[in-house]
Amino acid sequence: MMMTAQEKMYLAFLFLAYTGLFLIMFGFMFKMLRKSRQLTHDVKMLTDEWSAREPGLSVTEPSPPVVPNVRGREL
Amino acid sequence: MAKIFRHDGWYWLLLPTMLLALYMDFIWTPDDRVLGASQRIFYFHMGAALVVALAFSVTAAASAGYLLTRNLAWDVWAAASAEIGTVFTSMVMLSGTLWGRAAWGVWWTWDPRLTATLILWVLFAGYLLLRESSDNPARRAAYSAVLALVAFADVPVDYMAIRWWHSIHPVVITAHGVNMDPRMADAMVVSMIALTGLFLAWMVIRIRFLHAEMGIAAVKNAVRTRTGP
Repeated sequence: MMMTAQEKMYLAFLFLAYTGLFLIMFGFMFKMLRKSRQLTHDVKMLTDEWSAREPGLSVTEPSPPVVPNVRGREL
Repeated sequence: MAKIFRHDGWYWLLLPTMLLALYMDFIWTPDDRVLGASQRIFYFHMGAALVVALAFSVTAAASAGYLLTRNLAWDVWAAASAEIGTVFTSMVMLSGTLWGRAAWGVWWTWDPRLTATLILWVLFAGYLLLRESSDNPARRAAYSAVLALVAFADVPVDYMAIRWWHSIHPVVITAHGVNMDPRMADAMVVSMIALTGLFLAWMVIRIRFLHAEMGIAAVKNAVRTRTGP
């Protein structure tokens, strides 16, 4: 099945459209990579700071499922 | 080299790879003798299918890692990979539906391959729902790890479905090699590499965000325990 000139033009348009979409996605993901790297750095600073105060603090071991949100004394 | 990885310099490799894949898929490859231009859906479809297999394999391996070690870092890998794998499974089904309409004249048929892929999508959508159902990180990780290992059993079944049962789905990769024009095979391989690169970049982002969430939750719990609510 041979393509007509018009079909070839449609394919070229599709190529440009998908390239444009990819470039938008690429830019968005680049932004997300930068933000996530910054966030990782900030959270590490925070956990290091708290680890010094709370020796048991760990981000890889599960914390208690529900932290009470009311004070025991006031119940 | 370490600096390139630390500062995400590797990410720029994705740009030329994906642009090359798009050029090969749309412009460079010849038309199929029977299907014409609609054959070009296939390159994207195969690349996405490879990522699905890769993503759910990572989920299964990380789930086993969690069950063995009870370290939540494994659960983060499993969750991130399952999320991305589910999105790619949706892409595979959507592109397959479009290709099926052009090749077979129907949008959907209960072919073994199509049915196995739909089951895979439902299983991992269920996995993501299960993860939302518990606030207890350890219980959530354990339950979802078991479900991930059960769901992973469908991945080899999905791959072998067209070989074990009577199916109208084409068999591209055979014991004698890739069953297509060499230029088409090249475009398929480049698409697979490009989409795998996309998967890796997305994984890095999701894992970093999930780790940050865990870190914030741990500090929040420590603050609440010390100071009260």
